[in-house]
Amino acid sequence: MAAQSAVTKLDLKQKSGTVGLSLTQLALRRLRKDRLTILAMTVVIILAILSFSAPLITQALGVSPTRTQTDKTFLPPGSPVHILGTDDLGRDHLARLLYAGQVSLRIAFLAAGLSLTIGVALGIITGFYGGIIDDIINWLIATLTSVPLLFLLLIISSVLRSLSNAPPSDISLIIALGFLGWTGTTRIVRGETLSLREREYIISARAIGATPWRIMFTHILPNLFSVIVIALAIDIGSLILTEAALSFLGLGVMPPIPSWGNMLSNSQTFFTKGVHLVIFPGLLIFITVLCLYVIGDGIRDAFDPTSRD
Amino acid sequence: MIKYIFRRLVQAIPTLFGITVLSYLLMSAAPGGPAKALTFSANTTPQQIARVEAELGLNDPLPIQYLRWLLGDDWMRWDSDGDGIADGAVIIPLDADGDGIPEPPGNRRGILRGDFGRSFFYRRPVADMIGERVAATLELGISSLTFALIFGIPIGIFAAVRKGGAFDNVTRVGAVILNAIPNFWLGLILILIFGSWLRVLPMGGRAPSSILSGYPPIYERLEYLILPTLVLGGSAVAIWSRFMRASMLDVINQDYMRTAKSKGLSNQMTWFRHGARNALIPLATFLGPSITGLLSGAAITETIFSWPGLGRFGVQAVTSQDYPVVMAVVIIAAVSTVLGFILSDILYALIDPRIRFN
Amino acid sequence: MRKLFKYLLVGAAVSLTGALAIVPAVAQDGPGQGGIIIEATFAGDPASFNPIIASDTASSRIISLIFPGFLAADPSEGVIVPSEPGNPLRANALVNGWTVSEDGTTYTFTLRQDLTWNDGTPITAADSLYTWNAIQAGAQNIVSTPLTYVLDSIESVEAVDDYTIVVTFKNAECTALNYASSLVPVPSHILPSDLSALNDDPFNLSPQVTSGPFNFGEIRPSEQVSLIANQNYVDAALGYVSPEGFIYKQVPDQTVVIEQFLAGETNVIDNVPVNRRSDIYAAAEAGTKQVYRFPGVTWDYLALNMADPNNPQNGADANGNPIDQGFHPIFGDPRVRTAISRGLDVDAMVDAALFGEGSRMTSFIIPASWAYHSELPPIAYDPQAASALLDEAGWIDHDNNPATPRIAQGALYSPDGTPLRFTLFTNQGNTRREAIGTLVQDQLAQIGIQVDFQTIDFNTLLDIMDSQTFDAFILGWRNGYPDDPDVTQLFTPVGDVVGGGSNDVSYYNARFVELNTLAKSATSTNGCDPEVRAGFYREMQEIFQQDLPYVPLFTQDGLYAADASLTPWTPYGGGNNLYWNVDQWSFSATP
Repeated sequence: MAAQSAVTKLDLKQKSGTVGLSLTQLALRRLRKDRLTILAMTVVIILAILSFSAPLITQALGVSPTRTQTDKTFLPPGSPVHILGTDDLGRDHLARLLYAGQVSLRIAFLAAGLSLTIGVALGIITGFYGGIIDDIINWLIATLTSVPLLFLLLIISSVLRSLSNAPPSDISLIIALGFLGWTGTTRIVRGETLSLREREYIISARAIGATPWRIMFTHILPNLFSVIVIALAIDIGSLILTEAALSFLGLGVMPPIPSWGNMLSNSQTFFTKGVHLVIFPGLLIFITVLCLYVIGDGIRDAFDPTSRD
Repeated sequence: MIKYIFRRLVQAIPTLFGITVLSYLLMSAAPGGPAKALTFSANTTPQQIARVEAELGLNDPLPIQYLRWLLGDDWMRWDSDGDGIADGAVIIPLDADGDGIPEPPGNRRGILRGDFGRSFFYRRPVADMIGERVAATLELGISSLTFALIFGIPIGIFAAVRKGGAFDNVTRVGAVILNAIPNFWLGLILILIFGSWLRVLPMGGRAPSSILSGYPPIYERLEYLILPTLVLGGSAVAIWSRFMRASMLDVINQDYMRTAKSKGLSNQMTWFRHGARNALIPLATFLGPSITGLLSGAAITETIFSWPGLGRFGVQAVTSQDYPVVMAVVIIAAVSTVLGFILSDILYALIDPRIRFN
Repeated sequence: MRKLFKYLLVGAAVSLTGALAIVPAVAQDGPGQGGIIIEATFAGDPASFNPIIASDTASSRIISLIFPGFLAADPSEGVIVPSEPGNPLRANALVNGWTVSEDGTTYTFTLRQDLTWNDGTPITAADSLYTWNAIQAGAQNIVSTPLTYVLDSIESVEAVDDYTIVVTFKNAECTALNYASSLVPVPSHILPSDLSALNDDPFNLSPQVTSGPFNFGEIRPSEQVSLIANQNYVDAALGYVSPEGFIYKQVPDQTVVIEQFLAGETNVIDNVPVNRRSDIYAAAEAGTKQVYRFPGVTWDYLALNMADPNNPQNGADANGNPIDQGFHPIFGDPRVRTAISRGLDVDAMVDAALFGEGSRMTSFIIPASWAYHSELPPIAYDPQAASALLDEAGWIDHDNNPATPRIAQGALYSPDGTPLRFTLFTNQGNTRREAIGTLVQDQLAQIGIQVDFQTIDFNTLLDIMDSQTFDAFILGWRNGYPDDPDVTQLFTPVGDVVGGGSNDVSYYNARFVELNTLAKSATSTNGCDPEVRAGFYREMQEIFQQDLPYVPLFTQDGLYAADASLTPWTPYGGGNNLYWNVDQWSFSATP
């Protein structure tokens, strides 16, 4: 899992240079011309809109994600009322996929947001101050990255869910994923900050007496825009995969809350009865992750000053 | 050189220390407690639980528990006259459960002396159980790494040499696609296609079922390695090829490559004699992280392919809350990753003459 | 440049080294000529092969094939019997007869003299006495054994001579033989005389001295356990052991278990998961596999807490007098419990969650039991009646909308205005119970009860159950084999202990308790006459169905499957009865 996002992250380390505002505008112009990235963005946005308007859609179609019909189990896609068929308990598959999309996307977005916030904050602080803070954070990163992420996740989620007043499994997962995924971002942001710190305009800002916080917020943070956006897209993608993998190991989102991951891993045993129950969640995971990776790639290319167009 | 290695090892100590603290804290945060799990049955009395808690030292303060786990407790409570009853104690009380009878002397040596404790579930020394499974994980890890290098490096080189060409594009798409498929799903589909449908490969396991004693040598069970290697090594191929491509592109843009070209060397010669060799150097740094990646991936790959290795063992231990096993697997993974990083650095320094040990 | 994603990856060419040949089992008659039995399991590694220490499913399977029992259990009748040489249904057990004292507390067991360990040493009373000593040591935590529960019942065990054992029980109860079954013989001549060394004895993982149709082969951790035919097996029906060996193969993924079996990589499955049974049945129709379906011994229920969850109390004080435990705000009212039972369409659950592979429970005794009350009808699904009962109990539905719960308006134990809502737990990782919980949630919503359904970690669930602070949970029981219907721990105040015990719902009904005592006492049942006992249990089942501390759901049918070429394959249901005649098994060359 950690490895899965590494492809793009490595490239990111290689290429992302320091960018100014004009470069951002240039990048946006380039991005607009990049049809594939636009397509990927459109797909993700459509999926998100569909998922988050699930209550409206299901109401309009007259179906429900929780209404069971034991006489209508495993209906194939294209059945009357049930466009994508029904599952093992006769629940509408489309409705469940939409609600599951809400859960999966929310987990991925919030966890990515959480880990990015932590990652960027720590990265700027360590890069800016250096010294003992830098040492401590580096030690923490070295510690966290030397344990396979999956095991840390397994432990944390099993601890979180064995608390007697445990939060629902989707919230536990956001916390666990968010608090473990920040190390890569911190490293990159730290590097960027280190080089930005020596820029003339920051040195002069210091000279005129700007507070460190002001410098960090108004001078450094905006320059990290591209790094953050790229990391966000890729993190969200790999988090969706991580959620699926945890579901396979029995430690993801717990039924009856649906997620693409647990729908995929639970339906495996039914694949001879209703192959659509395996195909659709798998396809949704695949398409979403693929699109997010393409978006990450596209944004990087757009911001890459060396890319010829 | 030796001094350098020694220094790197010393530098790793705080990291490893952090890992032990981190994992111990996480484990002890779980409620219920091991005593309850250990004595679980329909007829357990609270007294029984208290006795086990005292025996395991679970009613001691957390720092002492940690110390006991790290350094053992055979020096904390001892028996000087050999009658089986403890008669001396430091740090921990002589009579922990307060029933007026001293507890038996400590017998744990702590993980620093290789005592990983006992599995709650199997009641066996964890070190033995780890030992039984480490070979399987190494086997799969090495074969996946080899597979990733054999395919990843050439793919990366060719993609860089013909940057923007058909091969480059196809492999780039392939890498992204491969990374966007859930691993367990890919594994299951491969099993269904090659095992169940075509019946050309076994559906998991590490060796044929047999009542003969002794393990068959690896060359007799290569077909068992194919599918797990494809799944575990597949995403690694994607990563290595992307990395190699980037590294190669860097080298191609270097001045000395242009010089070599201008000297009249043929393109192919330049690329392979000068380019590829130098492009390989940064790969050494990637060895450490790739070990962590393989171990993470192993947890899923080993489960889907019934591979009798550490990853699956660790996952089972997490789900059954067998904490001593989980801790051991985490520590072993961490140590091997840290060693992998050190090895990376040493390799890097060895092959790149610009770096000196200092 | 971004056009690149229009390319599609053509599948990577994978060169496959040689096709995998599945060796057809060419078997003949004769010692060890019958082929190798390979059973796949998704149970984990066996923890120990020592019958004193083992407690998990995987270990029990292996132990049943390499160790004799103390008493025999006839699989065709499901009762405890003396062992009879020459009768394969009563083979491989130590006791060949017993007498009971006048007061019913002392059993004198005589032992077979023809049984030996595979090193030639005779099996004697000392071997069972070793187990008894280990159990007593277990009570002091010297030996880790799950068998200490027998100390509740057994007072003492003595060996009169090498082939006579006297067991004295604390009370004259009909469960005596079930408890005595725990005195399994172990090879005491090679086990440590110092019991504190037993936990770590190498025997536990490599039992070389055994006695049964198979000898221990080796264990490949996380992979397989292999056994090899024991041609000196005294009770072999054919005079020899036909299979060459037995392999217990670990496969952690359910889908792979089925696919391997269908492909012939394994040839026996004990408990086929319900969601793949149709594939197995199809293979049986096609003549490549054979199946055996039997009434299940596991049953699922919906437990409803009857006492106040905010103030958990024990069921009885030190003198055995009942303690007032208050009432659960919802389930304290029996009309609500009845309404819930009538609002659940259990037949639909069996269809959906079990694919029809189960039978309804009417009360607390499984249909396969001799004590089952066959005239008691199951609770009928009747949502109208359920709604009427809830109205009567003061839970009013204002809008008839399944999305909103009823509101208390004159309910017995809840203040007016309280919504009719409760939390329902089940253990995570069990797809069947997840399905049931989902169905319960949806079906109860239709009658205006809002269920907050959560799947949680099993250990956490146990904690919550023991603390008696829950509303409701779905769980199952697996009956022992041969089963005794005694429910002292489950449904009487004895088991109603906060922090322990199994009567977590705090069920107390004086008549039920009285009947339970009568039904297990040897004196009131005419020396444990099953007819008399069944009479008591019938009345108990009726009371239980009225009181509903549990809403009984269903039992799941068991299913064994094997390769069609395996003969004579005549298993029985129940616990370990798949392999009762394994010594005769053989794979015929052409099915």
